[in-house]
Amino acid sequence: MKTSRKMRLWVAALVCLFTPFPALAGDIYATGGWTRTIDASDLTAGAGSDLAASYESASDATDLETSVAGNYRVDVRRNVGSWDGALSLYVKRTSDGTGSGSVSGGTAYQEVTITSQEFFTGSLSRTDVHVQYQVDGLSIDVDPDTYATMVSYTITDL
Amino acid sequence: MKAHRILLTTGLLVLATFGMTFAANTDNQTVTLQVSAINEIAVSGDPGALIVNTATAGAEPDTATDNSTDYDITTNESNKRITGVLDSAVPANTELYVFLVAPTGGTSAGDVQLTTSAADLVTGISTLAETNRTITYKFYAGIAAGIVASTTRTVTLTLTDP
Repeated sequence: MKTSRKMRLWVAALVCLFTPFPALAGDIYATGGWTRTIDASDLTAGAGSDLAASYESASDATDLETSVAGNYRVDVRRNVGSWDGALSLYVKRTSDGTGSGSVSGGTAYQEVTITSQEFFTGSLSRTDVHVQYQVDGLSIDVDPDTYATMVSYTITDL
Repeated sequence: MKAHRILLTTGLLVLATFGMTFAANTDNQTVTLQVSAINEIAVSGDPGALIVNTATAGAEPDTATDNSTDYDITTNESNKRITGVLDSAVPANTELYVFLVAPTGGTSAGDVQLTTSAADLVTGISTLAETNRTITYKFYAGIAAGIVASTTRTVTLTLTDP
């Protein structure tokens, strides 16, 4: 009898252990993205000049939506991808979006690296939180090619 | 019983830890930059008229020279060359030459006689952006050419692959 009760407790603990609490997890959805072609029209003054070093996406290149019951933090990072080492990717939040909660921070460009960094914080659900990208480091020394990186937005409940 | 409580408490603590771990969600976006091949060359304008009207007694007429123009160049590729070609041949017994000062790293072919077939003027050009590289034209008209009426030709400079 004692052994059976002990077993039940073990089983209960293990079941609980491997059962996540979905109610605690916030959701984030990112739509959009940014593709930019660099060509001769981007030379600063035609033949004899270099490429402009910096390029900006539309202010709403990415649209974030959060679905959270409480407070949260959104982190951003990128993967290595086929990105050129001379290029730096920056991101900033350009709108607060709409919804019952609020968002704060992330309105100045910050470099996106392969290490996750805090982007902004918020509470409750928001939609249409717009994100803008900037790439620095372009020059004619960057070989003609396609460079891509995946930007990951991670929401964490606080 | 005490042991069970400890066990249960430990399980719940671990559970809480897992619950926090699962409280994160990620979505992704892709940023793509496509850098195209860029090969641009531009000249500053047309050279002055090349007029052959002097000679030293006993010698062929003097060659007319103009170095009033230059070119600007940008490429993000390697081992490019500049060729030059005329739209139509120059009059009989005359010759038109061009000399391009090479940009850094390139090799000028020196004075190159221009014809209706493209000729290499500069080779070995890689990844650069430079301005004001001098272009020198030389026009030779031998006495056999006689008097040649004023005429124009278009010289096309092309930055191209090897």
